[in-house]
Amino acid sequence: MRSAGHVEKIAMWITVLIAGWMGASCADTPRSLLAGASVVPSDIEQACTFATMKCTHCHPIERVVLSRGMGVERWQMTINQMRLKPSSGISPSDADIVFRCLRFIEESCIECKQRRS
Amino acid sequence: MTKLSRACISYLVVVAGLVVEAPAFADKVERNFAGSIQLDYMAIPTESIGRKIALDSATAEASLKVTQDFGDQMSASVKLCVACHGVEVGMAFFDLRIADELSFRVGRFTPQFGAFPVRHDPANHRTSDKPLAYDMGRMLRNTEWNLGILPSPWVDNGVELSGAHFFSDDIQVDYAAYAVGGPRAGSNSVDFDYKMSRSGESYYLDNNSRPTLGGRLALNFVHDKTTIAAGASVMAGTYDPENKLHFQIAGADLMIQIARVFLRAEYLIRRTQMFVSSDPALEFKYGPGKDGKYDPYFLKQGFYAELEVPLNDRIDGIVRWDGLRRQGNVVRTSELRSDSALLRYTVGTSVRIRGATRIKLSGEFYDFSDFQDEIAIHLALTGAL
Repeated sequence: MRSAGHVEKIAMWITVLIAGWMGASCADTPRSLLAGASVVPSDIEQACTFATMKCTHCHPIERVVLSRGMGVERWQMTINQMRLKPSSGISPSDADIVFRCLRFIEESCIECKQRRS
Repeated sequence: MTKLSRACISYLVVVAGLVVEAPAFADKVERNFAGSIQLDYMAIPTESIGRKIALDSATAEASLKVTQDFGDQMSASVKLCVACHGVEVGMAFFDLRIADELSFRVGRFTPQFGAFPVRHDPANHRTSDKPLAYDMGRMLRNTEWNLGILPSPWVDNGVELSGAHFFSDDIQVDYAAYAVGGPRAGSNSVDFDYKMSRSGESYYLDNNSRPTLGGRLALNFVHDKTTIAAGASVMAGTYDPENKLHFQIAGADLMIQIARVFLRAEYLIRRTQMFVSSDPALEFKYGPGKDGKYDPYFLKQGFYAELEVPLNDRIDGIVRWDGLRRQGNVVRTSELRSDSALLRYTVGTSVRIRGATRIKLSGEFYDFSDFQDEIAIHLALTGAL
């Protein structure tokens, strides 16, 4: 049997949770692998959908978006390392598709090029 | 040949491999930086002073990782972690990838056990805390339960051999085998002493000169937007300085991914030998069995099942059910019984706000067999660097 004080505290925390959730929902627009890219060929769009599915297996896709600017060569090495993570589900041919997407977002990221130069 | 000699030879083989490979990659060096931060506040509204039963209120977890690649086949990683336990080195290892099917890792790392440890970083999983089986101090009644089965990330010094083979684009088999220092405790102990694994006073060394051995085997099946991954893990060794107290841990994991919906489940079981003195009646709460002898083992089981569903492009919902059960004798001072259980029900959400930052909200209901039921609420801000 719980006291009335406990019930009030629980109600207060539930209110805080709902308020926080609603507030966070009003934050900025969502980011995806192709955020900021103006013209996206359909095969790249498909490759990026595929890459999102594979990458989110272990981590949020924001981690990939955040790493833009590391360079195409570095992406290739990273994808290979991720492919060999336990239960990655990324076969060598899957890695090629993921790389196609990441090469596109790397090359179409203007601010990344500015950062590198 | 002793176990120790075999372990030394394994180290030498790996180090020799690194030395032989090194010159070929000396001209191609790439460095990468990553990290994460989580600030979490846990409230226990069912207690007036939550600290009496848990490490409640605010915690900050941060990790900073640098990886340096020496060509395609060799890399070194160092990761610093800051949390309730202070600054720790979560990674300091070399990786040597000879082929998909053969990689060596040597140094300080998290050996492959189960599926959750790959996602242990707060930025990589959707709840503020970890499943009970892998809890590292944030669960309620953590002292009474002495945490879960194997705290994650389990960081240890050692060597690991691993690999993956793709039979086709759809079927992948992974394996790993390792020798690490293993869990520790003092002489005449009845369970692991986790503080000894992260205490400079105990040195970051194996406490009994005998490696703990373990391995993992996993099968991954992919078809269109569906992935099914199943794995089995084991770990065994001794944990006391005299090498008399044995433990064995086994685990099974299953992950089903359909597009961006994930169903994950794991089960872990640990059998741990307790020290039984010449007068056990003074130490243990329960008497001997029908054969007149005290059972020196206790069994601890843990599980979780969780469903992660994207509610829209920014918001993920998560529902988790996890639990622990401990069977076996307990010391007289313990508040647990010979068969104690804990079930926890969690509902949560993870909301992406700006860039790679997220707000995590979750409510947890703890159903204890030996204590009053409790509620915990988490509110966290998490970001990837």
